[in-house]
Amino acid sequence: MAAAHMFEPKILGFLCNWCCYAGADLAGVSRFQYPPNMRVIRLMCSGRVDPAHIFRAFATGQDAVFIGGCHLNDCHYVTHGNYDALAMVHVCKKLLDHIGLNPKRLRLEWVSAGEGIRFAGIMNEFVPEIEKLGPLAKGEGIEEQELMVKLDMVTKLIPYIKLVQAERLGMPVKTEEAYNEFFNSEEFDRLFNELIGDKLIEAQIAALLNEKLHTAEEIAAILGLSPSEVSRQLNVTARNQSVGTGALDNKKIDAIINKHQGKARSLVQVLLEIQNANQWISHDVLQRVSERLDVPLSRVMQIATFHETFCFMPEEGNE
Amino acid sequence: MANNTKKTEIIVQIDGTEVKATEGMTVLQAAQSAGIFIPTLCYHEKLEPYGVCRMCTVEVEVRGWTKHVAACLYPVEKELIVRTRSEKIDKIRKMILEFLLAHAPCSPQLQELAEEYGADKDRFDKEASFCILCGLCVRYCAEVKKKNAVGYVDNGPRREIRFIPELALTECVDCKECFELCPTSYLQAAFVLAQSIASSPDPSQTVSIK
Amino acid sequence: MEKFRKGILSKRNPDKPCIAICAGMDCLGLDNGGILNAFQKELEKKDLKTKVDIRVTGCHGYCGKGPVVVIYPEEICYVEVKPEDVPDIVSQTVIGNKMIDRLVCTAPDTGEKAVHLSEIPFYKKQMRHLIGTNPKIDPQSIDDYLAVGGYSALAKSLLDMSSEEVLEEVKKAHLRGRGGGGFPAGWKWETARKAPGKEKYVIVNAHEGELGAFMDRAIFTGNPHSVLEGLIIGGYAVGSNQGFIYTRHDAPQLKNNIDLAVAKAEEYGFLGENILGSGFNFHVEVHLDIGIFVSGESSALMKSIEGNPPEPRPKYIRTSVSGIWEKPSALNNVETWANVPLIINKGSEWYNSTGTESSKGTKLVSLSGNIVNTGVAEVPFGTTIREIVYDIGGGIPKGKKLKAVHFGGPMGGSIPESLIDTPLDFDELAKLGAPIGAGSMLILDEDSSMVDVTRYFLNFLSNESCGKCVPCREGIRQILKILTRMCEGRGREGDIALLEEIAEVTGAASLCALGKTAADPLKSTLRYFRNEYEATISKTQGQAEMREE
Repeated sequence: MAAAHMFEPKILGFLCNWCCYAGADLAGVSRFQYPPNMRVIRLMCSGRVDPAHIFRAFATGQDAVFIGGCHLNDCHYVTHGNYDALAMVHVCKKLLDHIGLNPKRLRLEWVSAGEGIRFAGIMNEFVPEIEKLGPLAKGEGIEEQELMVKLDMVTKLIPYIKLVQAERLGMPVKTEEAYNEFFNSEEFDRLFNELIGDKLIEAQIAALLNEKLHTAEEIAAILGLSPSEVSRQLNVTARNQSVGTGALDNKKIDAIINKHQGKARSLVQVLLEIQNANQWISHDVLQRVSERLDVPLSRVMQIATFHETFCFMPEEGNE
Repeated sequence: MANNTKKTEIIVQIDGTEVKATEGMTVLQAAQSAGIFIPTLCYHEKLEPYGVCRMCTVEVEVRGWTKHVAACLYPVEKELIVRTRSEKIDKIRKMILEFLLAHAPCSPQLQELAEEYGADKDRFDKEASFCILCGLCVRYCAEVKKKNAVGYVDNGPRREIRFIPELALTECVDCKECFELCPTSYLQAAFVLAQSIASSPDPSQTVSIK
Repeated sequence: MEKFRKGILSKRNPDKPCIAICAGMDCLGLDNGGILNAFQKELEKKDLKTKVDIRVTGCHGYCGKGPVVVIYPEEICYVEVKPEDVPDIVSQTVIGNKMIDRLVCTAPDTGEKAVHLSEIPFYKKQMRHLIGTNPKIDPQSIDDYLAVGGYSALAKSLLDMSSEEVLEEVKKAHLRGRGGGGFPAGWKWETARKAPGKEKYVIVNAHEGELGAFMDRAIFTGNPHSVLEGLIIGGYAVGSNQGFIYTRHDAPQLKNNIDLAVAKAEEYGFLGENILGSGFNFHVEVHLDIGIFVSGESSALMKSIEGNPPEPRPKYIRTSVSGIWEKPSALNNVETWANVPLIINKGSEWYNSTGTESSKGTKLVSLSGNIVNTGVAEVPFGTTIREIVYDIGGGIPKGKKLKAVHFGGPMGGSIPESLIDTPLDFDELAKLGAPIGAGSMLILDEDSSMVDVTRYFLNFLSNESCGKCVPCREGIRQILKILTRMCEGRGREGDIALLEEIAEVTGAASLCALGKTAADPLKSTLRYFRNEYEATISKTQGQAEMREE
């Protein structure tokens, strides 16, 4: 399966100063051969690598990212930064998977200062692996522009993801078994999906809806999700922010509000009547009701979401 | 008996001690005035009491009837007898902590109380959301700042706090006074989330996705 | 006013044939519209339009055998009627005075036929003070209500009695709330009356949310004026000039009938300023809910009327002292209000002659589940559960055995078969851990899994809880997780003890009645059917998991 034009992967490596960088150096001095595809950035500890670095690397055209640190429990810092790197990489791999990239493009290895051979061996394995995977995006069959949008979305969410990881996806016990067990467990999957996965989908749907009022099926096709998953998120996204222009008929809405003499206490009745007349309520409608009735928007939202009564997206078949 | 000052004095008994309270006080306020400690999670002196964490549950006895009530809401009355610790009260508080620890095991307030009541943070399976829905942020923004930038959405187990995206990008940036009230750091997480979802990609840069 | 009533009655001929077509929820769904059309066409064909009335009525209660048609004045009852049967009914029964065998109520085992309303087993043991009026009136016609004596109680209260006397009468009748609380209505009214402040409110809680309860809807849709009349009388007794009706937003027929009733009552002078010349003013506002069960809780309901989210508050201060906008508010259930005109008309002594020591009067029950005759029935307190299930309900279909009767929906409890000779009574049933609630009776046969029924109720509650307080929100969440595992056969050692502990905490520490009683079906089924829970614990799995640790 020789390609007409050989693909040379671009790999960015973050190597920790004390162990891995020294190991790589040793490999060089000892003349152990390995492909030259990796550009190295030296940092003081593998724990310093931030998800933002990883995703920026991919956004600027790298085909793979490598992180090298000291062996677990050998970190030169009291804080055991390499455990942080381990946790972070687990989360980032899931993120990559979520946006359709092969998680194998991100690799974490522990290499000590004396393990020159091992370093060369890893490179000799990693580079061909990435060659086989193909260039970023093209290898997975995603359009480059589409990938850029997704990477941008993840990058925007990174402050949130870091907080979530620190609070909820951390492990108090620092042993390799505990970490591996947790990050491969169903519990981790469940927590990740609910805390991060869903929010990613929400952000993506918001961006899509801002462009045009897609239907649930269209969104499902674009994002590669099941229609039921999409429907679930769709209502959530649509009520939280302005999406599309929607069928907002200000005159009709004002008429309903005036019927109730613009009294704040008629909030529930007004919302029900609008829903009845229009079949759905958009975020803009909620804002207008909030302004006209002089009720804080958060209270309007609380009532509008208090049960599944209100619909924030037009149903299929309605205009 | 009432003298001609504004409020009547009411004497209640808390854990065997006589406490002088005034009409309109809650059991919690009366206890705090006498230096008797009752644990709380959703209470704040600057805010109207909410009574949802139920940590302040105490046993009250009046006119022969005994019942369990939330101290932060129950008004003092004549001849009220209050017990702040008992086997049942401790059981209630322990379980409430265990419920909440399944959400936010790293919260310092929860950890401190967990030690006192012997709560086991692993009793229940981990829940994803690390918000304990104490409502301090929502109420602070509504009652003190009067901006209503953060509110509740959904009901039941799906209830969560959300920032109004437009306000999160404007008003909140210069304020953030609610952040220090949050016993977990979910408030900050919700804030950055609102900011990131609100600033959606520039339409001119959005592409036709096929 | 009596003259007006006589005027209406004089225009009516009691012997004139009338075809009453039940338009209750069930019958509506079974195409009673088609039957109505067929009758109209047929009568026109036979040129009988002026000689025979057609009346579309509210729910008769015999939902299991709908669509139901009753021919007056003979009170011939036809069941499971189809539009194709209509020409036969008109030609054979209306004109020819003959019975149509296939449409008449037939006992499944003996083949015995019951033609007239009074012969039908479903109706025989009932005491239909409230719902008995339904087949006789069109809910959209205030004249029909007046013709059967409606609004005479209001006239009597306003013109012949003082407000204190009305209150005393209701107190003496020992009318207990029919919505689930069973609290004496008279005491509640008195508290509201005595509470400081000029502005007071009376409220109809028409938010029937209890699973399996549909009798409030039957009464309110079928005879809205009876409830309205009770409300106005209540307002007079409490000293309130403003009433509220709070109902679900998803029952359009109910809302239409209520709106129409209020409009007609205003038109005829039973609502508004100076009612019947008595000097008493009273107005009514109708409010809709946003669709959640917790908004049937009284303090949540009041919050919702104010325009706020329907979140309950602890009732350390009673709502009859501080309710809507912190004004004294007396809230009662639809059925409770419907009893009031009866009490005023016939007197508290008459009312007390029915029922038991602690529970006076009749109770509407809705029968559903594994029972032959589903529907709404009205029985005097004291009727045993056995009589309701077998004599009125017709027993269990397919020859199955009865396992339990569940009262009070997701906030109630189950009575096992061994205890069904218990009389229907607020206190007796509460003692057994199965309070009567709003009156829904879910009949469960031998094939039902009590664990699954409990799980179903808790699943319902988890969607309907407001989520404010920790014990309810988290307690229900955790109980539901355990029960779901149990229903999948994956119960673990220690699960039952954990369930009991959570139930204790949720019951003691929750903010409102929803949380406090959420675990009641669990407690009740653990009390009588503990073996079913124990059977779900997978012994081998439990041990395997312990070995892993």
